Amino acid sequence: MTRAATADGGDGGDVGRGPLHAGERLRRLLAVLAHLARVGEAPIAELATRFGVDERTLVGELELAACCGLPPYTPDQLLELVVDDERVVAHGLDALRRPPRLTPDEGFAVAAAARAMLALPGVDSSGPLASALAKLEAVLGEDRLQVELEAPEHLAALRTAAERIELVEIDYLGAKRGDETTRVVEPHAVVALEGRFYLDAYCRLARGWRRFQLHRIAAVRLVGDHFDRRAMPAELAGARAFAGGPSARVALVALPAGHRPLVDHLVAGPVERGPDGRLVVPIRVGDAHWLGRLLLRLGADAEVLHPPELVHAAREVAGRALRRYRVAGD
Amino acid sequence: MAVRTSRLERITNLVLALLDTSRPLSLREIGRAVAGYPSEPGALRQAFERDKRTLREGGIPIAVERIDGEEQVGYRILPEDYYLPDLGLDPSEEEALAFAVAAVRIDGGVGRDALAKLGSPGLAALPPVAVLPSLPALGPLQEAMRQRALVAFDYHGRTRDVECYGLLFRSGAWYLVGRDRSASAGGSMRTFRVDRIEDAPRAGEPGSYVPPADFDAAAELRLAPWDHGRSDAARAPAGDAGLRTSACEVVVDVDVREARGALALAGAGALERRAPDGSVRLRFRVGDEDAFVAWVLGCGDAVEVLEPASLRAAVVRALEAAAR
Repeated sequence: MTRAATADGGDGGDVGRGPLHAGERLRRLLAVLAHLARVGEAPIAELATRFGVDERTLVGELELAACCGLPPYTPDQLLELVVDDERVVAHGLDALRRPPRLTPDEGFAVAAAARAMLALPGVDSSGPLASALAKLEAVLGEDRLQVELEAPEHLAALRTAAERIELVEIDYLGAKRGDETTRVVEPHAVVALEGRFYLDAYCRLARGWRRFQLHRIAAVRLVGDHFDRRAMPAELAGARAFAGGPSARVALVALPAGHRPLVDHLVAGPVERGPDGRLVVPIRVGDAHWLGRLLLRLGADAEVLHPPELVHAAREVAGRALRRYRVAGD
Repeated sequence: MAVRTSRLERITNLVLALLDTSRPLSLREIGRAVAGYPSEPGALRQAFERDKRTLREGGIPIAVERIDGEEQVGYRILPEDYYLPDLGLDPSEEEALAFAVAAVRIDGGVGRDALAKLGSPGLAALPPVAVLPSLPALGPLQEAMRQRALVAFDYHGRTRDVECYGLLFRSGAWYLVGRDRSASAGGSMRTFRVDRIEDAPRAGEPGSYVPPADFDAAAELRLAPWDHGRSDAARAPAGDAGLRTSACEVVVDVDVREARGALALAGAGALERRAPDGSVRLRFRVGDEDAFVAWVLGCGDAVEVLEPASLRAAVVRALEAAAR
């Protein structure tokens, strides 16, 4: 994927981001004013949260807007905004009472969120969300969006266990055959990341936080006990994957230049050209088996240069796969 | 002494004035009346053009109309261009939309600005139930679909002209499905990975095509590396160099670790049977044998080719070479 999920849970406004362009600031200001035109007055803090902007910036922009209006800018023609330490009171913003149209990005964000929600198992596909989408489409045009989220069979059971703080035992399939483990875990949350579902849990076997892929969980059993909820480390909450944890390594892989697109999303640093014309690409590796499979897919002209313990990753995977053919075939 | 007016203030004044007017205003009138513009004609023209562009990028088009008089062109913002039409959402629908936007995190999303416009109640702070990647091209592509405007963009080093029929999120990526009208594609249906689009999509005139009735992007998506004449979305390297590329039918056993992924690539119609342990047997047509072999190898011991014998042998040969 192109962009990792941000870890801070922030979305929307410019908190923690660079300065916005004049166009974006205008768009937000007009949305704030339209909101104020409807509600009359609002606490600064609430507005800041609603529009995802810090209070100082918001107050600055509102004070600026209070100097705006219609020619000849006599007091009766200015936007009536009274900003004090805690609240803003608005009068006579009649021209702005109705909100401006959605920009393409906004229209997409709303439709995509709604389509994703409807794709979640157990969400009522004929409820108010579906009718809201139909009304949006009637005005904006068909959204022509489809969102697919895989629906693993243990989703509901794990969600329920997390909500009820119930300890569960899971059978988890590792990346390779024979890696199956049975673990008692404290389920924290089930989250869909980039199309796949994961269980975030404290694993009592590993004595640490783990993110499990739901489609690799073969069985779920309630242990019949509750647990004390632990605080999940903040840096894990938004992370893409952390099961690899501190053991994740970077391997140097040499491959033909034409194969570059196959590993583009895995590149973990600067790519160099080796003396034989192949590219030398640093790739973040969680698991040797995974690397071996990647190498096999890349073909005979690709190899691991470093570290030494991963140089034979492909050989081990190939040996394993061959056993399957020999047992089955000969 | 004149107080210097900030640009944001000037544009806000411009919006208010152009919305309020009942007739188009000439540039000179705008310069005289709206606070914040320079008086020198050249500088005024430059400042106004810049503001006009900013507004258009923000989704607020300024209408240009012929007027009588020396300057001949006048400007205003038409209410129908500016105001969001009444959507008629009832409170439960507003709440459902607000919940969806709060619970589905779209990276860098502007969902909450949109919600405020839709008049929804404030957002609760919820842990996300789903996270979708966002890309700058998605909003413009979707807008082009709504408008049925042809879109031009660069992809794999070539410029495409595409009738966009659907956007689909599957297995962690956004895909665009549509008809590529550029000469090299000859009007065939293509799948594009949106994150591989190389520049900002440029939309043409609205209403320049009609999408097929009942179009289903999920059915038209071509993701499998072995699809012959497939999209440019997934390109696999050649496997065994001795193999010719031709169409044939294959049968594979896939164990539970890869079953879901393989089914997604081959299509639900490929399923022959599902074993109690979750493994599946699939039968499907392969257009590009080299790409198919590379895919099988990349699955390690999770996939076994049963038919045809020639491809089974090719996989075993490659594995033996790698195991030495």
